Parts: sequence; C-alpha cells; structure tokens
Amino acid sequence: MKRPFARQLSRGTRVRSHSSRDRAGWAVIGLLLVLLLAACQRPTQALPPSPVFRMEAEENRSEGMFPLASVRARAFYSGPATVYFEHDRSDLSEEGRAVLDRLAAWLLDHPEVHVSLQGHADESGTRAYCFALGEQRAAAMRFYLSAKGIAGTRLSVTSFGKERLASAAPGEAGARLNRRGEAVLTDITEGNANP
Amino acid sequence: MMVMMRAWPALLLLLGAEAASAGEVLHVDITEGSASRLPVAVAEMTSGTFPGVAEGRDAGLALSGVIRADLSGTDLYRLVTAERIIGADEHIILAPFRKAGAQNLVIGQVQGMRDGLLDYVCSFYDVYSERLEFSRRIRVMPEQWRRAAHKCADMVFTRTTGDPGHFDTHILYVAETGPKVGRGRSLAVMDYDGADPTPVAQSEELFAMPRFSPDGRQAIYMSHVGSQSRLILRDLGSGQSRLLSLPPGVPVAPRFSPDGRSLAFSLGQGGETDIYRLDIATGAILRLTDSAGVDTSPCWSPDGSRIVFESTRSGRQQIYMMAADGSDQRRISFGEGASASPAWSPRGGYIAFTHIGADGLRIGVMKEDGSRSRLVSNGPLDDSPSWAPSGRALSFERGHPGDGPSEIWMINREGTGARRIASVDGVAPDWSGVRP
Repeated sequence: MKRPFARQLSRGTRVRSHSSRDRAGWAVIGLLLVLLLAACQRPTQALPPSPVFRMEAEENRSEGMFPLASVRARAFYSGPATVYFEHDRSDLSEEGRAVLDRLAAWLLDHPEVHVSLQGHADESGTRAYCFALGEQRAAAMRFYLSAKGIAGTRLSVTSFGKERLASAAPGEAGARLNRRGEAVLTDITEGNANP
Repeated sequence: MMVMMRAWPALLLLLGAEAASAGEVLHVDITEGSASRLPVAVAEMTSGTFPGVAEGRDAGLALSGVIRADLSGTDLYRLVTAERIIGADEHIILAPFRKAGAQNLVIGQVQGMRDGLLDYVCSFYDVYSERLEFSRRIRVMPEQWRRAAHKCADMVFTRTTGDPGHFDTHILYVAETGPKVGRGRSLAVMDYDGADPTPVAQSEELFAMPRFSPDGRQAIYMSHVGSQSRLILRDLGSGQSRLLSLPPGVPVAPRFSPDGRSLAFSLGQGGETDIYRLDIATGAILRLTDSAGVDTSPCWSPDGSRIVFESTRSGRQQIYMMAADGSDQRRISFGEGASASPAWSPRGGYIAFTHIGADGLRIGVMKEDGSRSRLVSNGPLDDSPSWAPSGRALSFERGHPGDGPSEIWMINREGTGARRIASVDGVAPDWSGVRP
C-alpha cells in the first residue's frame, strides 16, 4: 500500500519519476513546483531575535532605611550578636535571651544605633519556607528587644532563608550553626560614635 | 521497494512548506512513559560550515545532533539511526530508515545564509506511508543556530504529542560560585539544555527565587536592599529594574499570574507569613490568606482562576488550594511526611511539589485534586520544581549536605530521564514558556 513518494510529493502530477529517475523529468517537475509553490507557500518569517540580556546598569539604591556604618557600629559593641534556634522553631532559648539582654542594655545606652535583625535557617528545609522561618526568628528577636524597651523604630526585620549559611558542615553540626538570628548594628553617626 | 527523493534544496523545501498545513495530531497514544516510544530517525545530513554557526563544525550535522539530544531527552521517542551520513546534494532514500525501524524521519537541511540569516528547513516524514507530515522553513541569526534545531524538535514534539514543545526555551536561575559559606550568587539565564549560560544581574546583595514573566521579558525575584527584604522587577532586555512598593515585611516567593498582570507572593510580618496578590499596574494589594503560621509558595492555575500554595495551618507544611480571590481554601496533600513548593503544570492536570520526609527533600507529582501522588526524584535535597511549558518535564535544584555545589536537574514527568545540567551550578530554576 505504499504510494510512490514522488507522486505524493508532486500532488497530482502524473509523472512516475521514481522509476525513471530521469533528471530532465525531475527538473520539469521541479520548475513547475517552484512556480506553483512560490505562489502558495506561506511566507516564512525569521524568528524574532533572542532578547539580548544586558547586565544591569550600576544603580545607586540608597533609599533603604539604614546607610552603611555597620562596620563602625559593630566595632563598638563587643558582646555576641547571634542567637541560635532549635530545628524548625523560632522560640528563644535561655541562652538566646541572655544574648539579647546584654545587647538591649547596650542599645539603651546608645540610642543612635539601629539594629537589622536577620533571620537564617539551615538547609534542610524548602527554600520559601526557610525565608518564612528566618522571618519568624528575626521577629522573635524583635519582640524580645521591644519588651526590653528598645523602640520598634530602631529594629528592622529581614530574612535570608537558607541563602547565607554560616557553616557547610553536614548534619547537625552545621545545621545548629545555621539556625540563627543575627543582630547587625547600623547607623552610628560620627558625632556620638564614642562608646 | 526503493523510493527515492531528490534532495534538491529549493524544490524540497518549497514542497514542504506547501504540504505543511495538514492538521491533526499523530500518535496521541504516546502519553505515558516508555511503553510505546515512537521510533524516530534524525537524518545526519552535511551542509559544510558557515561562519558563526556551530563553532566551525559542519552545521547540518551539528543541528541534527541538537535535535537528537532534544528528542531523546524525553521519554516519548526511541532514536534509531540508519548509520549513514547524507551529503548535502544526495538523494534521501527512505528504505534504510524503514529497515532501521524508524516510523518517522526528521530531516533538517541547512540551506545556507540569506540576508545574514541562516536558512534551515525542518521536514518530518512518515517513513511507512512515505508521507511528508510537515515542512517548515526557519530563519535565525547565525549565532542562534541552536534555536533553529530546537524549533524543529519542538515542531516534531507538537506534531506527535499535541502539546507545545519545551526545547526552544530558557531557564532563569540563581547561579552560584564558590564554597557554601560566602557563596557568590548572580541571576542568570541559559537555554533549557544548559547551553549559553548568561549572567543578567550580579550586583545585588541577594538573588532568590526568580521567576520569568509569562512573556519571558521580565524577571521578579527576592533581594535585600538597605537592610530590607524587597522584591525587584527587572526588565531582561534593558537591564532596568525597580523595587516594588509593598507593605513592610519580608516578601517571599513571588510569581506572575498567567496573564502577567498580577503577582502572588507571601509576606512575613511579625512572625506570620500570609499570601497576597499585587496588581502590578495599579499597585493595589489584596490579602488572600490570614491563617496562623506560614502560608507561602503561591502558584497560579493555567487559567489564573485558582492558586495552589503551602501552609502550616494544620501543623507541618502541606499543599492547599484556593480561588484566586482567597476563597474556598482546602487542603489537597495528605499522607506521610510534609509537602511544599507546589508548582501547577502550565498544561493543567498535575501539581509538582517537594516532599519533606525522613530521607530529605524529593520532588513529587500529583493530580490537581491531590490523588495519585508519587515521588519522581531521589534527593537528598531536591526542591524548587518548575514545569516545562509542555507539562511533560520538570527542572529542579538538587543540593547535597557538605560543601558541594548546588545542581540543576531535569526529569520527565513520569520520573524517567533524570539528568543534571552539568554546565552550571545554581539553584531555583524557572523554566520559561515557549519562545516566539
């Protein structure tokens, strides 16, 4: 039941060219078809050019709340600024509360200092959830510092999820170092920088 | 019977274009796995070399190699070969392909350069009935030669499955370099098969969970600016970006609606994370969930009428569904362990997700109603499933404990054909739609 390919292609042209392999015959068919199809071929269009991915222009996004003085501020606070959490939890441990107590006392003496509370998660969780968990941890720190008398306007909450690990050690050894909240001190001004 | 066809370029191509309109989908039975793979041959046809094409290799052979890789990456085709390279002006004889067991034959012919564009003609034959199923001319800039082959493979895919192909597509991802602690990250785009990885943004403090807009021209992603978590909308053509104005909090997991007009995302405030939607043009914001705990990872249904998401409202993370206005919220994932990171197939019918079990994170696929849930990947830290526009394959990230790189993988919907995109290290792949 196999139809000659050439006949199929030529769509009704009666030349049985597959058996003759006659070059002249082919040329005639070819010419006819070129003429015919020049008329009915749907226009072919070039693919639109691929979007050219440009690197961003360097932009100055200084609209954030806290300009950069964190290096200076950190140099003036000598206590620990990181608290650690249990797996998938955001409640503060006794040790964590002690860290925040000491920080709060220092902040009460340094009203010009703002704090960016940055929550982190270990890498065992899913990516979006780790951001939510980091936010919960940073928020728990904020509640605690607020309760200790630090104005909410001095405390901002962000989350890095599992994007900034503190340790690459596999298993619990690394995970316990990654489940953390960091208090990053910012916005000390030149005039009252002396501790 | 030996049937011969003169591979005289102009003639064949014009014929092909004329015959191209014939319509219906072939072989609709090849939908489930490897039981009935379609035996296909891709002719190896030389063309000589062209400047700027295939790094100086024979263009015809290089393009046919790309088509072969595309088709064999799915679980729908069995690639057969007639073991013979065909010269540019040779007769193509179907009998050897039939003898090799091919039911269909793909012939891609590089016809040369015209007006600075590479002319490529993609033809698809039924070997047994000796019928031309379609033929199309594709013209691309020389440096985009791979696109011509991907387009040809897409046409074959569409003709044989009825679904759009996923070969002429991009993947947006967060590229990573260096050790896990202090790892460098940038936003990058590559072809779906890992070719041509290109950074598109590097200077932000954080790049996380990027998503293409439906037209592929923009990206939305999470960043960190001035000590605050922010969402950034970036035009990939111009490189311009802007910070979205949102209520204070930690915005997470943004995703475009199918019409490109809205974003769904979650916002963490005071330890509660809920899902919101933003009208991009007006800036209007609607809160969709207000349960205690974490609601995140929203993803729209293909028609935009529903949103699938994860929630801890019943304890651990599970998959829920709601109408796009927040009404009618109900849980769809049950069973052992927890489930997260849902992704709704752009063709409908299936939801991919990350299963959280005692053995780590693995990718799963279930029906839209939560039934027929099964795991398709092996872990140990597989997450961020993203569908191909065909709805027949997924990309995802694979992490490992310890200080190894993060990997981007592909897998077919049925769990076959798992393979790493070895050319890049990174996380959070987002598969684009079919490119125009």
